[in-house]
Amino acid sequence: MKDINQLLNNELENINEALQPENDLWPGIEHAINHGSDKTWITFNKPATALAASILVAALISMLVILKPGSTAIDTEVLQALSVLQKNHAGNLQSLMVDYQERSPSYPDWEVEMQQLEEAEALLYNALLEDPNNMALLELLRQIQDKQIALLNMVYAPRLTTI
Amino acid sequence: MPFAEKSKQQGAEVITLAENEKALIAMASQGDQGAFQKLYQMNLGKVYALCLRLTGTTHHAEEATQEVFVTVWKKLKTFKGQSSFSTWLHSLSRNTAVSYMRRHRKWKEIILRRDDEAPDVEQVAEQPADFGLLDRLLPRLPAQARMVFVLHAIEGLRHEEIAKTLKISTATSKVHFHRAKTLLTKWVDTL
Repeated sequence: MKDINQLLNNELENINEALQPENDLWPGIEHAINHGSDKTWITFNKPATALAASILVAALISMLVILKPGSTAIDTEVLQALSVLQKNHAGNLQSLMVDYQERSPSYPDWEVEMQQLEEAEALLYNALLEDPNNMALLELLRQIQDKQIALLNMVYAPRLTTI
Repeated sequence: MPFAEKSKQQGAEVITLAENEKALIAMASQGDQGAFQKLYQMNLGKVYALCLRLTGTTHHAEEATQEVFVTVWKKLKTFKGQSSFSTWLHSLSRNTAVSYMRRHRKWKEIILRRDDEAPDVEQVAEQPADFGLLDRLLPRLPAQARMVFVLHAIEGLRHEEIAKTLKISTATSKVHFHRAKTLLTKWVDTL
């Protein structure tokens, strides 16, 4: 035990002060600075939009349907349905982004919410890939995708209140 | 080269670096992005190391690092030189990374009802092969335990300061630290 504590202490004393990231982070920082954004949700070294992220996930699922060893016929069917769901969602997001490309967002922090929704979506996909027949997860995924669409609509086309 | 001359040369180099940094800070705070990029390059390694140790994954560390520098750009005019720039930057990095973790835990906890679980083995496997032993083990710790361990054992903060930063009690901070140390000791023992 003393040797292990000593080993840990040695590691702490000799820990590297600096580490280098694999990706070039400057483009994302520069973009955020020049566009007055608080967050680097849109970065140049990652998918630039929710749409691109959705397409990537769809492609990944498609690959897994082909490559996943030990998949049953039902799993494969569900995974294929998941891929179609994702492609449809990507199409919906693309349509909205084309419609709204000339508009300004109605409030500035919407990207934080969108990022949270994307991360939740990614977590649900990961969970569904492991448990494709989980209807509760699938329902949650649909709700998250609906929230993404609703957020875009709310930010770029808020309803006018009527008196 | 005689020792006295070498020391004098190294001292002169340190002074030159400090003057250089001061000039860059002055220029960057006036909106000079070129100067800011140089400051970024000079400090990226330390900021990223801290973010990686606190967040536990390269993906989150990169995003948190970007947030740090965007915040630095905005707040640079408020840096008046009361402390060294690296101290000021380090404190800002710590707070930004902690705030980042707080925001990114929310959805995971709500959606998957996980509370402070250890990350997946695949995430741990992301670590570069040339990382030291501690940097390879830290991502395996549960999030809160990892943050407390990093803040106390590596950053040198007292538990009272950690409690304030993480919005937990001092007692909870100590519990998390003990948990982290126990896990690290166990993993090292089984290597």
